[in-house]
Order: sequence, then C-alpha cells, then structure tokens
Amino acid sequence: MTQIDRGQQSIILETINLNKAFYLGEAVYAVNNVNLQIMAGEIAMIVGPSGSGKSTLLSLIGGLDRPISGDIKINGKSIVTLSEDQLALMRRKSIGYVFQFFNLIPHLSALENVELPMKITGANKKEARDRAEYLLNEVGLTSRAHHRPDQLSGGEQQRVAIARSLINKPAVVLADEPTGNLDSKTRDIVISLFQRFREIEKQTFVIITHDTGLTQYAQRVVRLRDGKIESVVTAS
Amino acid sequence: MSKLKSIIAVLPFAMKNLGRWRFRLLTIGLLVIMTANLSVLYQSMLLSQQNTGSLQAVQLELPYDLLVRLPEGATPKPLEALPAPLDPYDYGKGKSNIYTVLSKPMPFSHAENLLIYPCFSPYGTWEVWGIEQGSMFFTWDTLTGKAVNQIIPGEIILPKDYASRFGYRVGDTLSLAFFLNNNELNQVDFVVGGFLNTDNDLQKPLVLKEDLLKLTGNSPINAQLLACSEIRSHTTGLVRNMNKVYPGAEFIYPTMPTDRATEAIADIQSPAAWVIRLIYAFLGLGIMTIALVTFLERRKELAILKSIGLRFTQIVSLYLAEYGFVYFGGLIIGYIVLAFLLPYFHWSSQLTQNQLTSLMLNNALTTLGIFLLAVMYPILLSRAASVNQLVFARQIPLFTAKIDHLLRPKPEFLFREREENVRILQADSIDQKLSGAFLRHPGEHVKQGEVVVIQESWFGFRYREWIAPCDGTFTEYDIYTGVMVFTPDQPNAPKYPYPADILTTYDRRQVAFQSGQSNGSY
Repeated sequence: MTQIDRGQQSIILETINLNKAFYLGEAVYAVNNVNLQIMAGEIAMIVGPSGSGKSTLLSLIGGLDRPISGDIKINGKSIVTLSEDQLALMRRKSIGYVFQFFNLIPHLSALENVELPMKITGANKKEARDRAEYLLNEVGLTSRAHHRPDQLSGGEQQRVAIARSLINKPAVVLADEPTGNLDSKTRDIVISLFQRFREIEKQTFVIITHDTGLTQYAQRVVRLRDGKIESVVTAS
Repeated sequence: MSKLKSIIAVLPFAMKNLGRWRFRLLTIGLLVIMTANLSVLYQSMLLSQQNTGSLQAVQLELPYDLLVRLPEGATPKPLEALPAPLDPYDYGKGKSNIYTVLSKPMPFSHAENLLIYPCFSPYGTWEVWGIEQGSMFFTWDTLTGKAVNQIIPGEIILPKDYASRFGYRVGDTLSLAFFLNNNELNQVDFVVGGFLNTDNDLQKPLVLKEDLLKLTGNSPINAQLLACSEIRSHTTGLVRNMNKVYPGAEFIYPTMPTDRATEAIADIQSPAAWVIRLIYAFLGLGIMTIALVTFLERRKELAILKSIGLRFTQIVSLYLAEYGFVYFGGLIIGYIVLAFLLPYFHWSSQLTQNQLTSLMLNNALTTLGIFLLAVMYPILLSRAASVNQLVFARQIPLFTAKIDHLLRPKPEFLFREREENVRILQADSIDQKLSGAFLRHPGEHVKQGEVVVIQESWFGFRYREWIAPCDGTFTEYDIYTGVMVFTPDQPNAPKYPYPADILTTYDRRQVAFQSGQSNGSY
C-alpha cells in the first residue's frame, strides 16, 4: 500500500454503509449503517454518549476489527478486503493509534516504547532512536525517556503513547479518548500537541471524546448515538 | 531483505521477554532437560537388552549370502532386476524409508535358481535341493578326495554328517520317493556321489535341477541363491529391499537368528514404548500449557504490537525466538547432564557410540517436533485474533468461514432456485433451533457480501458467517431445515456454479415420476 497523500483538501478517510455487530449469544449492533467522510489535514472529533459505538467505529477505521458489511476507504483504497498481514502493513505505514488506556508495553522504557513501531519495520536503529528522542522532546518528556510506564504519571504515559503513534509519520492518527483519564491541564497539553503536529506534519487526527468542551478545537464534529450518525458539523 | 530485517528487528524484543518470563521459561528448559535424560536413558536400557539378546544368537555359517524361498506363483528374477543401491534422496517419495537409506542394499554378484522339493527317504522326510550343474555355492568330496562342484545326472550329494548318522558311503544307492501334484508317488534311485565338505549350517541333499524337474513333473522353480560382492553390515536392510522384489518370500541369511532375536525382544519390549510416549506427552503438555498461559497474559501486548504493524512472520519469529532459545538451551544442557549420568548406568557400556548418537538424535528430532506443535496453538491464536479481540479478551475463533452458497446442494433446492429465480442458503439447524445469531431478519433488504447469520461451532473454535449471495430481500427462513431464501433485486443476478449433473439427475427423475415410470424414491 502506498504512503498516503497528506496536506490536501481531499477525502482521506471514508466509510460507506458501515456495519458492525457482535455475536454475544445474540447479535448486538455497535455500528449501524455509518457513512462518514474525513478530509485530509483536519481534526475530526467523534462524540456521543457511552455505548454509542465511537470506539468500535474507530477500531474499524484503524483496521483493528472487521465490519460485517460496508466499506472503509483510506485515501480512496478499500481496506475491508485486506488480509491481517496487509492490514498490519497499512497500520505500520499510514495509521497511528492512541488507545484509551495508553497501552504502553510495561517492560520497555518510554524511549523504547516510542521507537518500537519504527524498529519493527527494520529501520535503522539510530534513525529510530533519533526520531523517538525528537518526539519525546516535542511532548516534553526528554527527562523521562528512560523511565518505564509504571514510573510515569497518567498524563506522561498518554504523551508517550501520542509520541509513539507519530513515530512512523502516519497520515492519520486515531485517538480513542486520549484525554479521558487526564486532568484539565494535561488535557490542554495533549490537545495542543495534536494541533501542533497537525501544523508541522500535516497529519489528520480523528479523536474520540465524550468531552464536548473539546469540540471547539475540531474542524469536524461527528455525533453518534446508538451506532448511527446523529449529526456532522463542520467548522466554517 | 527487508523482510529478513523486519524479522531480525523483533529479536531484541524477544530477548527482553526472556528475562521477563525467566521462571516459566526455565520450567520449559527443565522439562526439556528431563525429557532428554529420561527418554535417552530408558531407550538405551531397552536397546542394551536387545543387544544382549541378539549377541546370544548364533550366526549361521552358510555358503550363500541369501536364500530366497519364493511364495507360490512367484518366479525368480534375473540378477539385473534385483535391487540396486537406492539414492538416499528417494527417501520421502515412497521408494525407501530411513532404514533402507542407512542400511544400503547390497549389489548382488551371482544368482542361481533352484528347486526345493520334499521327498520320502528310508530315514524320514527330507527336503531335496535341485541345483545347477556347475553351482558356485557347493563343493563336495568324492572317493578321490578332490573337491568337486559338478553334479551329474542320477547323482545325489549328501550333507556331511549323513555318513556318520545314516552310514552312507560314496557309491551307495539311495531310494527316494517324490509325491507329485496328482498324488502319485514317483520313486527313484540315486547314487551317492559325495558328501559336502564344509561345516556349514542347514545342509541339504543336493541333486541336479533337471533330475528333480523330471521327477516332479516340472514343478516351478521356487528358490534362488544369491551372493553379494561386498561385505555387508546391515542385512536387515537387505531383506527389506528384497521384500519389495519378492513380497511374501522367506529369506535365510547368516545373521537371520540375530535379527529374529532382536525382533522378538523388540516385540516383548513394545509395551514399554508407552513409557517413552508418556514422557513426550508430558513435555508437549507442559510446553503448551506454559505457552498458552503466557499468550493469555500477553494479549494486550500482542494487541499493541499488532496495532503498530507487527506482521504474522514477525509474531512467529517472536515466539520461536523466545521458546526456541529455551528449548535448544535445555536440549544442550540436557545432553551435557546425560554425559555425566550415563556412566552410572551399567547398560550404557553395552551400547556402541553409534547407537547412543542415534538415540540422542532421535530424541532431539522428536522433542523438536513436539515443541513446534506445542507452540503452534498460541501462534495460530495470535494470527487469528484481531486487535480488539486481544484487547477486550474476546473469544478468538481459529477458523472463520464465509459461506455464500449451499454446502450440500440438494436437487430440490437447486430446482427451486431455477424455477423461482431465488438464491438459497442452508445454515446448521439442530432440533429446529439455529445455533447462532441472525444479523438480518426475514423481510429485510441485504447487500451482497453482508453477513446474515453467524454460527459458532467446535466449542467456539470455528465461526461460520452466512453471507448474502446477492443484493436483494431476505424473504424466508425455514426453522425446520435452516434454509434461507433470498430474492435478488436484479433477475439476472449471478448464481453459484453448482455441478450441473445434480439438477440433471433430479429433472430426469421428476420426468420419470410424472410419467409413472418411478415410484418417486431417490
């Protein structure tokens, strides 16, 4: 899969009649006929009450789960028919993912966590290290580079996770409740990081949040309820 | 090259995990060490008993290297048709097995056909051999003391001890009676021409083959004597190869008693092989349990790795590096420990170095196979699982089949598809209950490729997703048969290419039934 074009006002991400149901003894629909378009270079926020399908939608977009029907296109290319291996390659090159609960590897230091996605591509060790150090510096954690996750605060862990998601310069960064477990000061730091990297590296951010106060920072706000899109508001 | 680099890139991560899980990996190492020692010691004990038993067996002194007694109906083959040395690379293609590779078949230098026939003598039933006139295998003494191997018509050569046992002398007349196939008795006198001049075992009275053929009404040749041009060291391999040329034949060769003794001891010891199997089973269970528990603990870590782009080959490399390091380390240490322990077991001195090496190699290969099988399940789970299944600890089906056609295309379904222009699926239904979940219900519109029903089976290891075969309406579901009927939006929507003869046969039967030629049964 080729590297995604960035910095253009084009549709970078699209879902068409997307459906996802879980088999839990009976079928439970988490995403129900969702049609969505995200433009390149924007910060899009998906908001909605708990259980509205936000995380499931983000997982489907990131290829972390498979829909039961519908299509997902990233820069015009469908990803629903890709094999697991092809999806892994796609994630490696084009998508950065920030999990809700940081999900850092506990026995690696902050620096090792950040450089890991680049190292597994077979990239040069020094290049990976330099890029990781740069990103940790950008998120303000140079002094904590050699600390393990259990030695970092929640906000610091989230910043490491964000730095990790950016190491391969992905075109799209998907963040699942990145500020959900943070205090307001750290929340502002994290949002400003997203804005800064959007400016510097022209990345597209799709952020899930239940905090409607953050929507002021977004160019597109998608409201979900019961697995369906209730409204889409774009900033003028 | 980049693929190799990406595989190597996960190795430092694997090495960190070795430290992290040192105790459980140490357990695997100990299991491998114990298995290596126990299995090799036990098998060496069994092997030494076989060696002791076969040493006590006496080797036969024979003038030939192989006697083949052919089964009824078989004919002797010419020398050039007998087994040639096999190419070791034929192993695995059904032409040889490991034993024939290790014990190279011998090239034969000489072959003689003979007829073996029973007869009545004054001293009981004898087996007389009709040999070729200038046989290379036998020499005997006549009155002149000169060794001769040219037998003349009407002459009989007796085994060496018949002179002392029965009082025969050269020139005596000996009357023998041969039973023919028609139950006639054919009695004939032979002149004793000499006595075999060796101390070989299994000596038999010898006559000219042509004489015996005339006396027995041209009985078919039923034996062959063979000589090898090389000294042999593995006659069991020789017999195995000859079995392919003469299946069902009986073979007599000098080390036959040793081989028979070894086989008999191995038969007696065969229940003891279960001990070895149990040892290996414990090893396999131990490794699999530890690997599975570790997989369950590291699900989130695997999810993170997959989400940042770890590929399947890298996952496999990760597992093999982590467990393989421990396995090979355990094996090496196990054999070092074995080297110290062996002298304390008295039977070890009865084994040759080759036998011991062969046991250790066997054990290494077997434990390697068990190790690979044991770690296969966590690897397959890691491959099959999506990131979210790992993160949220959901059930991971190993196999998911997407089915958009009839798995058992019965003629009546195909007939209905044709007549009504519908598409039919049949899900598994047990006792009028669909063991699964509907994602779409009758009356709803569906798109081609959309999952309509999910069913789980094999205790959750397998999922079946029944896929809408066309854009259209899900019109009908039969609770008794599990049949789902779809009406396509487009009348010419593509159909699944079932074999044409299913419907052809059905049509013929329908026509026959309707015209009264059949009672309608199938």
